[in-house]
Amino acid sequence: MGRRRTSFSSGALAALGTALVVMQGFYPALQIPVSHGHSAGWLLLLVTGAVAALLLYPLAAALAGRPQGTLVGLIQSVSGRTGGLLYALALMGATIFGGAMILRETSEMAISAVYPHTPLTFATTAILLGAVYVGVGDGSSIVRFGRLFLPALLLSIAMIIVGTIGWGELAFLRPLWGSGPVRLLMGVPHTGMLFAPIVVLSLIAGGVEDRSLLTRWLPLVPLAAGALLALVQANLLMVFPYPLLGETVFPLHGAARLVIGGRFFERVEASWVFLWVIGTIMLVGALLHGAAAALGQAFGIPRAQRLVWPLGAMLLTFAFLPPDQASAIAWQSAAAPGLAIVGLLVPGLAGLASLLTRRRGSG
Amino acid sequence: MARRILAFLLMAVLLTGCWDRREVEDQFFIDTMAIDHGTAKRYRITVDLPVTAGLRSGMLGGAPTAQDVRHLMVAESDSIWEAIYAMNASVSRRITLIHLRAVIFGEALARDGLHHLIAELTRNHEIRQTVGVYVARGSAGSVLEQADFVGEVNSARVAEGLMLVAKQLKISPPVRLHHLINRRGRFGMDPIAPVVAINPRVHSGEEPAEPKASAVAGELHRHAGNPLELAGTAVFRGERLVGFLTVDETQALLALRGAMGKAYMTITDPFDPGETLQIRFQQENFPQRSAWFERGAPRVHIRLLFEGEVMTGSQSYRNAANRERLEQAANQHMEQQMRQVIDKSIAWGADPVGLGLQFRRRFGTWEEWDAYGWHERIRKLEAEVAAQMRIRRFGMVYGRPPADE
Repeated sequence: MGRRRTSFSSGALAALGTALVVMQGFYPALQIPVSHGHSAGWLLLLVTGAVAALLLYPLAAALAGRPQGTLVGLIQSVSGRTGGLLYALALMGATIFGGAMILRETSEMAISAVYPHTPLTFATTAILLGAVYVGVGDGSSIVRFGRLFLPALLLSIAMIIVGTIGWGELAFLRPLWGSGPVRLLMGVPHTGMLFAPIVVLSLIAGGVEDRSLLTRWLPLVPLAAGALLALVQANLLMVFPYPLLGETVFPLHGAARLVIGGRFFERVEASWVFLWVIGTIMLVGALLHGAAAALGQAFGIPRAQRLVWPLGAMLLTFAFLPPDQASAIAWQSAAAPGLAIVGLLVPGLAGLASLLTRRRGSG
Repeated sequence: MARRILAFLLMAVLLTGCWDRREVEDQFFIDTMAIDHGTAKRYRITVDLPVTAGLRSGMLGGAPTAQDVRHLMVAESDSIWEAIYAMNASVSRRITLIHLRAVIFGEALARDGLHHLIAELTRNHEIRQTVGVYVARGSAGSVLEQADFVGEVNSARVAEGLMLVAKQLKISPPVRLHHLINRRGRFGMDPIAPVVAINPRVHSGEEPAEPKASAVAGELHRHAGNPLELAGTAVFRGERLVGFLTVDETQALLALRGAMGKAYMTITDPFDPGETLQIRFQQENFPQRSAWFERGAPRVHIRLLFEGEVMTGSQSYRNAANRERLEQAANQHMEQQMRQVIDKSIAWGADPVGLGLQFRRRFGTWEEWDAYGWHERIRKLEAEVAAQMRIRRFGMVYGRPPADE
């Protein structure tokens, strides 16, 4: 039996990143762009995707120039060991919080929509156990998971869009500027949260074989994922016009329930719910793995994947903190800019600082 | 390997969601629900419960009839859930709405507004937005009670069949709950729904005092058979029913919305005004609409193209002059029907056509559009409609059909 490969390509890493961001389309977080952009929520996603790509480019360039290098090492090289420690702790906090809200929302969705008799603790723990199993694996197994999962995810989204196109009105996307250009741009820091899971890629980038290609693939992730989410959002806005869309807990699930093809092809959302649960397992697992890797790199802990277990326990505890579903969604929305700062802005600025330092050093 | 097997087993147990058993034979599935104003409580809810035991006995002793499998239940309640609970107190299986196919709203209830009901129908996870919605003229419960299921044994099949008939013949718009919830004047388009009614003359044999050229359900010239009728359109202003459109107006409304497709219409024969002709209209284009503001008031111009096929009449269409005359009569008929729809809509302050959608795009932001208050402006709307018909086919005879004289 041959040894399992622990390295992976930049393209595979980008596939994982795209899957992690596109998964956000299934959660109530997709309403953040609608609440800021109104009927132009889809436009806000495109703008935020472009901003995220601009932030990720220097990070990708900095990582490409450092063999085996990851984000925490990069931050340490720019701001010293303390900076790396503080960032790792901030990332852990953001991961635990963000993952916990996603876990809670998914469990609530599963109970509200599909398994009304299942206790919340059972649904939440079941998903978390799967996520921990994913998280304790090495980076390459998560990347393989993402690469395999992405086609299924895209297919499910394409089916929903095709299946609901007849239910909508194109005119519901007007007025084009939604809340107006200024408010639209003000929504970028909030919408940036949807792209924050990309940070996981920079934490497991040590295993990338073709590092020089990182500058090509990494910035492509928010652009591609942003375009896909914008397509989903535009479809949802046509089907559930603003402001009704903002009141729906799981719009994509609602759209999936509309898909009917003749007398016998209906109620197909059950298979999608299964896919989304698997996707949540991947997303929360990747977040746990990223947080463990960041802590391991910052504190010099060997075999840091073991941290996934205690981190998972913390995440589960946090998942039960919101008293109800609406509070979980509200907490997540309130924390959105913070999550975007930890997941996008700081890594982007660290990459830029690293590039400038290196240039100054070589100059 | 052991870890993988354990993970597989855990996933099989934890992710399948089989927390408890809910067997099919332990449940009753409601197909159709009729909702009216209650007397003691907010609603009077009538449901049609298909009795599976009846189906079984029917199969053993020949084909089951609707009477074998139908069981009507009525309850008064303040919500749908409360009614289901009350009904469940009298049967041995859990009643569920997961297979609900049709909801019929009583006229009085719909006129008072469906706000509370729409809220409940939207929240309830058992009810899907693909459910067909109907508005009954008069009581919805009596429609369910008196309807015969011609050729069918359950109301689910009847509801699906009615939806299909509405779709194919354009005598009523096929509308689902999703459309009722997601179309509001505030968005630039008001909801519509198909109309159902019991025609009292079907069994009494009475003739109507004044026969109408085009009618709504409950008024059709029929004798014998099923007293249930599906015809016409219920127009809402937001969540309130404001009026009904006849079959001809329904076809014109669908044409204005770009959804008419093919429809059969009866027009006055231009060669013999005492006679009528039947023409199959086919909509050729999506309506070309131009919308603008003039001195602050909304103006709209709509142009539609149709092609037609003559189905009846004894005239020869070999010469171009006859064809042109017929086309003019068809245009006139279509324009008149569309004008009637728009005039009624303006009078009701409703926008079943979705003309507001043309004006939405003229605003920069949602706030500006919302502040404009489309619903309040509809009454000031001025609309022009122009139909252009080209008669292309004349059935199997394009000359004069055989006649002795």
